[in-house]
Amino acid sequence: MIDYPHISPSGDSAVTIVFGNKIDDRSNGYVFALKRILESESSLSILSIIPSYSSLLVVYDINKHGQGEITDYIESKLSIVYKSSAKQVKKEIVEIPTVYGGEYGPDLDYVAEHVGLTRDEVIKIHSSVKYKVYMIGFSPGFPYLGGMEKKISCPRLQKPRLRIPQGSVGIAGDQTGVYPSESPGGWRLIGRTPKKLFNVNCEPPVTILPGSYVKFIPINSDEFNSMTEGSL
Amino acid sequence: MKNRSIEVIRSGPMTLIQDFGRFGFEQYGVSVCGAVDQEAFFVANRLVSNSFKDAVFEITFGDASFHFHDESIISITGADMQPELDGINCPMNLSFLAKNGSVLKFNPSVTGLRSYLAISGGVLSTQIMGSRSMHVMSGFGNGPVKEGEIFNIGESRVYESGFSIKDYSRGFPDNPVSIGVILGPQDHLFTKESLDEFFSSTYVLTNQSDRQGLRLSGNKIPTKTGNHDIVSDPVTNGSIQIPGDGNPIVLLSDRQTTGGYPKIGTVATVDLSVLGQLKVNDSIIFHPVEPDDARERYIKKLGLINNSPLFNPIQRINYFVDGQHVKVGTNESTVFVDEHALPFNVLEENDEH
Repeated sequence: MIDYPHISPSGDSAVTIVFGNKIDDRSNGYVFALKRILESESSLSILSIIPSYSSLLVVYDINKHGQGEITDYIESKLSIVYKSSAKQVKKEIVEIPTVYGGEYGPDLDYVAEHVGLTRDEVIKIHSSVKYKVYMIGFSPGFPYLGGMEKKISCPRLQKPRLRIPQGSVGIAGDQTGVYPSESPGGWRLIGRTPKKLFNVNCEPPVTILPGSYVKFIPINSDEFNSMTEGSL
Repeated sequence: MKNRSIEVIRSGPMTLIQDFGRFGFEQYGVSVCGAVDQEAFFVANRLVSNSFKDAVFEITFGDASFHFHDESIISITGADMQPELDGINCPMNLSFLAKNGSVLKFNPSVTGLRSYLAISGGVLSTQIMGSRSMHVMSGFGNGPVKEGEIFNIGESRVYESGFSIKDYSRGFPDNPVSIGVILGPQDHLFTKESLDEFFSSTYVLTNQSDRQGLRLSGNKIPTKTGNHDIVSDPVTNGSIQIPGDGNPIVLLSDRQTTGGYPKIGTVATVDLSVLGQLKVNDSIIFHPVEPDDARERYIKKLGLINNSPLFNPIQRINYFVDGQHVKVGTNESTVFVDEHALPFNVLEENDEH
């Protein structure tokens, strides 16, 4: 066993700070609190900060800093991290307009049957929760969302689809997420959003920021089409 | 003013445009990318007075050729693909001149996997999030480069060629190559015996390896519990993941930003470049190193590449051929002519006298 927080080398030019080994709000809060401090207060030459469920990777300029310097700085900030994450920053909520079922969500019927609910009940449960964006990974802009009701959890497809349309909303086990771009994937697709989640010409390139919250808003296919046209 | 440019005649199995990489966007799921052999990338750019931000061509396996539309000062580093400029062997790790209309040909690689072609002024392809590095999976840069594509080149930053970096040489190490590893962040999930096994085994590169990562095969490294799933956490250049089958994966430039396999350690930055030159069936032995020692080695090497003076290693010899005065240069393995292209048999005859 190791004690948390656990600060470990990730090579000679990065360190990982691990706040726990579970997916929970508390350690994820510490991750983003430390990220804010490193971004706003430190004068260190940092190349990248990557947040995840319960750990943070800090890549620093190997020419400027030795690992001890980085580790000492982070250790000196831990007490503030533990205090500041208690008073959470404002909950920014991004709305994801979503058409459920039909061609937009070909697996909605399967999911409803699997969990023993009606389609409308699945939609209602899925769209009633504010999901925490714990991290972004897998592909550009892909949000890992926490907080889905276990009542609608459903295993992945046995065989992944080769092509999933951009904006597809899916369920995999206890997780839900949105595919920001066309890609292969094994999640059960229950809907699709016209909202563009990743745009290389925007700064930042993502619509949903790690650490924020999202809520799915049911819409119909006419609204989907008008939103798609509007975004062109 | 007319744009300077270069045309791709043959793109070979895979030719990409790469620079130092796309940093700061990993938190949005965007891969860093960048030249896999950073050392060769730095050297190629230094030789033609580019900065580390300039983009170069990364040629994998070889069998590619380029047509220069403008006089350009260029350099080739990395894998030895026996490059030829207009049919004449060209030097490596040395800047030289390609004329307007010249054709540069890379043959199949003899040693190593990736060659780097730097052109003074840099390749000016589209920048995405501050970088020109192509990422095939994300569609960034519409890579790989295709036959017939024309790329703009920046204004030359240098007017003379024939330079190499003093005291710098790049040899490719014997097989197996020895690679330094810094333990962590999940080394505590492995037993002492597993760690010993990892550092005493020889691993072989499988054909499942690419710019994303090297998949190795050899002695399996189980975790203490047999469980190889962790809560997904961030990865970095050189992260060594141990998935359920116990065979290590070393992540490289095109790595994803996070992963769910435990990471036994991370390759020392100074040893990453050589990994970019390994071919299928090449082998690796890992040894443990401390972060500060690894950093010291890296800073020393980078200091040499960046700060050692450029010098002209070519010994000039004067010849008279058919009554015409020509200057001929040699540097160890390569013979070439300064001002006039001459057939090689003429040079050899002269050398023997």
